[in-house]
Amino acid sequence: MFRAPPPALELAMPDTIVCRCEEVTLAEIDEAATIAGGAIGAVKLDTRLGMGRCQGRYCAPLLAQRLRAGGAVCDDDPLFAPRAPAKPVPLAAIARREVE
Amino acid sequence: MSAGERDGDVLIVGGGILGMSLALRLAQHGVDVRVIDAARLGGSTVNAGSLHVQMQSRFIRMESPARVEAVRRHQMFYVRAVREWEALAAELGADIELVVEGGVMLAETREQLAFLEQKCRIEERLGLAVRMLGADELRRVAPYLSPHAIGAEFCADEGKVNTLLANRALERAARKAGVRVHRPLEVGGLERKGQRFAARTAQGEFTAARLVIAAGGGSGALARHLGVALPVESEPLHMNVTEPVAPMIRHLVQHADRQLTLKQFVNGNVVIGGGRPAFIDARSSLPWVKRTSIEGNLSLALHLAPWLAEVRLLRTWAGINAKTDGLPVLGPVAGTPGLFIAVSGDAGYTLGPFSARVLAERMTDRAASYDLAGFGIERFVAAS
Repeated sequence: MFRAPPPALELAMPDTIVCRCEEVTLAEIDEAATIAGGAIGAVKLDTRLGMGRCQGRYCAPLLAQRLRAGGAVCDDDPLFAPRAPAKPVPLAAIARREVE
Repeated sequence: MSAGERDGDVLIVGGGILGMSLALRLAQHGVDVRVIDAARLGGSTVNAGSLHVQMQSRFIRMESPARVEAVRRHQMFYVRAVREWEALAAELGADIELVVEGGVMLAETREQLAFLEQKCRIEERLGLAVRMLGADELRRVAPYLSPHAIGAEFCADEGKVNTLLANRALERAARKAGVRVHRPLEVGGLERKGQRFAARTAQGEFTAARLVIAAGGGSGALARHLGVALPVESEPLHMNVTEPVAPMIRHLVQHADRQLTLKQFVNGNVVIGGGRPAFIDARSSLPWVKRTSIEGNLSLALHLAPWLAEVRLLRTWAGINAKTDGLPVLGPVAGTPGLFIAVSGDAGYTLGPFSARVLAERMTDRAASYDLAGFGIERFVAAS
């Protein structure tokens, strides 16, 4: 079958949404990068990119790509600080029956 | 950066909610201000954005009656702080998702109800807009709570604010007003040099005629460089956030006796907290969460809001409370002219902007919006 093309920003316009969960545009990312520098975690906090349901799985690589293209050394690894849970999980799956 | 660019009138170490608000106010008063912050964005950026006014039950249970009494004397400061948030939101001209629709502190037992009734009487006498809600009224006002909640103390001035949006708008306004922000840049040392202060950093030495230490839980270590004892601790607290769901929870919800806060932001995320412990990981020095806090917190949340069962948990994190004796530390340091401390303490995010307003008034010899007498650092000297 066909391999999906790598995500690319070449066709993106300033109003193109890069983070779909939180509806963050390319222009917003670029503006945040001027304030927050090349740090991917700081752009996340400034724009909410990566704070939605996908937790950055789709948008974080694109953000890293954008920051690197702007000359930033984007070596944060993993991209965002890891936060439990690893993927979204219903509260009922974690909560216990008894309440302290 | 040339040496001259690093020399100014006021240097603020710490660009969190208090430091950046102070920078904005001073710049508006025509003062030359610089902010240095160790983080990539100002402050710890981990506050969850509750606006607290009624006394938190956690504080009453954990602190001595004398400390509770001392904070009681300044409860109107919290009300003024929320008014300041409303004014600031209008002034910033950006949507920071500020919602002031009141807070409920709920009870599940008769004992808890009695505790709240007594607390409500005291707070009403102090001038807070509080009243008790019986079971029926609570059901009407807060239909998102389960029948386990049998009553509550309602406080009209409580609310919530989206901290990420607020910090972002505040810093942009401060820069526009002329504040120069240097970060990420750590201060490695502070010293007195003649009539001025010097801050050692990787980008050289910054000097200023006046120095403000506004670094939350890190303020004690900074003050020590200048021989000043400032008892403030970093207290990591556990937080959870769910995926966005339809708007249900209007209020800031707290519990009279158990560790729970619940609130929902404008974008639909439900934030669940309540002061359960997190910790600073020794290896990475990063705040980290405990499994027991996640389980305990979510179990109690489902007990009181069972409709959250199928809502998914997105993230957990450790917020950092800058713990003082319960009151802000705001004002000059006697014996070190030009040195100021700015730590707003418990509920520090709520108190940040108003604390900044009052300290800026003090630093520019303006009429005071609030008497800072009870907030001086000298109280710790007197106590030790």
